[in-house]
Amino acid sequence: MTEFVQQLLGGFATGSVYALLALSLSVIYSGTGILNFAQGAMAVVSAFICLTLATDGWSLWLAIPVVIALSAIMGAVVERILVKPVEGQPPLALFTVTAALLLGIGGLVSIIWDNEQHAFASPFGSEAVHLGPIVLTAQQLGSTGVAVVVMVAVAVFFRYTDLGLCMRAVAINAPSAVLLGIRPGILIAAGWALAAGVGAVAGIMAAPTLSVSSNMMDGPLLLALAAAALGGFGSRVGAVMGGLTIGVLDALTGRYIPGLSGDLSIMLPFAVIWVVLMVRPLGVFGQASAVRA
Amino acid sequence: MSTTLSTSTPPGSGLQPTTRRSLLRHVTGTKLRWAAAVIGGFLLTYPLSDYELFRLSQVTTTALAVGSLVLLTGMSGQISAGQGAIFGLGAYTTAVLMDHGGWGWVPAVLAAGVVTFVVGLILSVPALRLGPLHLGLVTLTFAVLMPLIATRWQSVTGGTFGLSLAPVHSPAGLHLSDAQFLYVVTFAVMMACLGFAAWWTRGRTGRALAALRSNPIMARTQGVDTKRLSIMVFTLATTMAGLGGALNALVLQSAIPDSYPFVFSLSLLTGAVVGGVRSWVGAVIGGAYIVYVPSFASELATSRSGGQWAQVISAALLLTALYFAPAGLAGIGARVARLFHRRPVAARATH
Amino acid sequence: MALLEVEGLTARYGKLQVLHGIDLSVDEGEKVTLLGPNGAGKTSLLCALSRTVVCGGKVSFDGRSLGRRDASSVARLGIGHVPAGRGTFVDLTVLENLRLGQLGRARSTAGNRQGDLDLVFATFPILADFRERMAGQLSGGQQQMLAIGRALLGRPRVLLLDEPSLGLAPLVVRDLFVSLARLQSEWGLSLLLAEQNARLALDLADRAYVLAGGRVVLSGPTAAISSADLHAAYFAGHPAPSASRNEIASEASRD
Repeated sequence: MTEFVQQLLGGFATGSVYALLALSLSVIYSGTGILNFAQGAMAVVSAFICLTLATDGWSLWLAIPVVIALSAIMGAVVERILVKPVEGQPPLALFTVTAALLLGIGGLVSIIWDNEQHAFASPFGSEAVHLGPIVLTAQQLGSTGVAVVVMVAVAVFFRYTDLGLCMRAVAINAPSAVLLGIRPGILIAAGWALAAGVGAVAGIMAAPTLSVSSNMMDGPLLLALAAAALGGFGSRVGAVMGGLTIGVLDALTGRYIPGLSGDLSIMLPFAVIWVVLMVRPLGVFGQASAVRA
Repeated sequence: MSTTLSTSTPPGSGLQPTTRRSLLRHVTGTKLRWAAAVIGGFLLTYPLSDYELFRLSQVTTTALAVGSLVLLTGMSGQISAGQGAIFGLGAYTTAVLMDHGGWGWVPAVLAAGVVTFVVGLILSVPALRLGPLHLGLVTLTFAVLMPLIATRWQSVTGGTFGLSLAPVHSPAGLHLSDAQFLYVVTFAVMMACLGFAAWWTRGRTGRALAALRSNPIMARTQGVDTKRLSIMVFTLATTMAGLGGALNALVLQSAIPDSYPFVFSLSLLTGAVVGGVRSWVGAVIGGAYIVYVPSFASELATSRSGGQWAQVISAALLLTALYFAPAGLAGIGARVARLFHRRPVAARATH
Repeated sequence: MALLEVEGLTARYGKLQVLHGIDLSVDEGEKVTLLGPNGAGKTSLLCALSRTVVCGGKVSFDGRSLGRRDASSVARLGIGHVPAGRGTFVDLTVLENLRLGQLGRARSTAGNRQGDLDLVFATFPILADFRERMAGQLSGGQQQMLAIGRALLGRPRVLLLDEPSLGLAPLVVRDLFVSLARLQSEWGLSLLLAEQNARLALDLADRAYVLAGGRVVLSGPTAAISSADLHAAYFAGHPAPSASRNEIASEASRD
């Protein structure tokens, strides 16, 4: 039983990274109908910048906010310059632009840094924390805590700020928002900035466990995509729930189903997703109004 | 009728027919161009060295995979993130049958086509029930899982080191070297597949696909059986890619997991867009791009990151094509060709 | 000089041209109505003014040409547009919908947010009762009020209203038009109303333009327009048999 709870909590910890990435995907998707396959690559850039700053002697608690802010700016710049010319075009063009971003950013990361794996010291230290019979690392607790804080902050942003309200409106009915004098362009850039910032947190929180490398986010991105599908594309709540569920499923599969350990353990979450989608194609929290044609 | 015809005519074919007579001229013109391509391609066998033919064989087999994207994405607007993995599946099927089963190369390649056809059915039937976004997700899953399974299933697939294939020997009576023979075979299969696809997407099917591509909901109201059509296109595309992969494995004499990562599917997409995503000529251009550009980039770059620079160049080309030349290099070629075609028509009009 | 001056306005959807050179003006404080059968171009005209459709010709607002401004900047200039079909944000609350009307406003006219909100609630009391309800749960008439209230909060100088009576029951429409009559005085704006319900629109407005086939076929003060004139304009080219002229007159005086 203890073992089960242990795995469950460990699953929440990894799931919180997937949830953050899925949240990024969902913010961009609901604003523009684009599924950003390059979100993981963007998070890798953030992780590498953070690593470089840390290696240069920066304190992690200074480096992390700086990297998050920098990533948000980069997200907005990428959208305004590279993605904007293609917005409003059919899904193929949108898919191609994110594929191009994925290729380009991935290549640049390998060129600017390298193809090696780099250790990343946890900002939370390396002790183990004992909660009764359960043992968790400080990294697990810390990263989950940070992820939860970020998710709550995003929810508050959308619910209570003017900018968040405008972004929600544009996602529901962009032409009506335009008629009220709301500028959609700024909001879309803001969406990408927010997504990039959240993605940066995901990358940095995952870095100590996964080690920083150019393909570190490949697996998490895939699971985040599955999480967003499970939760319903365009639903922020769904994305988070989906991410946490998949993290737990992944941990439990790896531990309890023989033969599906290591990288192959992702097969079970996928199987579950397919079953769910068969029953409810929109995803658990998805709504028809959120689905882009 | 003329308006719908112009949407189903690939941009790579030059003339825009508007009357019955010019339609006839257009069709004969296209046939002549295909015939010329076939003859020209076969003639290349003689002047080129074995190594150059080896590279060209890689181009022809890759062109099959790019062509599958032209069919799937360019013609019918469906998204597949996994053509590269299907290519790999075709390669592995052939390799496993030849290596473990002792099959000859011809039945092994045919079997690869059958296997990828079946896999195409399995992937597309449930996914299409759910919608195009989910087809993208399914193919993405397949693209990621395939190299993983290929690496893990060591007993069958040879693990990380993969399988090697026995070389294909040129039959005695033909007086061709092995490389020449393989080139002739791969070229013939490529022309046959691309030709079949081009033929199939003309006329009524072409119009149905154009409707499916631009507005699936409206297509359904016009009586197009979108589900059936989508499944047919998808399975045809996977079969093409599978055959390409099988032949590619024969050319390279190996099948290894590292050759078919997810990024390879993206490279195929790049090749298709750069060549012209709605053009059969573009499929060949795309194949050439994928085979030649990475090594070209390696020669340019001083460090060992030639592959990465190729990726960055591909990304830049993809974006350039998206912004400025959606019809790819084939589209640019067609625009240039049209400049030359106009003069004789104008001359005729003044007489 | 008129607040809104339109000269030679054209509009097209793709290759289809729907407006063929419209001349129109709306003065400060005027209530003008656009009438005409379905497909005459009333909605296209309003969309051309709010720049939500491809258009040509000259439009000047407050003396300045609209030029190549995009839709959101035209809205911020002071041209509010309530589209046909309301366009409320169905997954947001009434209060959030109204707030969005204020958020889009140009900084220079930010004004008194709470005061304006109270004024909207005075104009449409039902919105105050339902302020926390999801917009999608409101009835058609209530959503129409919400859409208008939302547009009012942008403090437009000209309010373009597209077929507010569409899909609403006659009693609801009557109440709505009572509120519309007060809008000009309570909010200090001019009104350009496109309507199918000719009688109510003629009662409300000072002047009318009748459109048919993308052109203005009749214009003038509403008092001077009779139902016979309307009939002739609507069915231009199809004279009514004399016996049924009475039927049309009595139909026009009903609803």
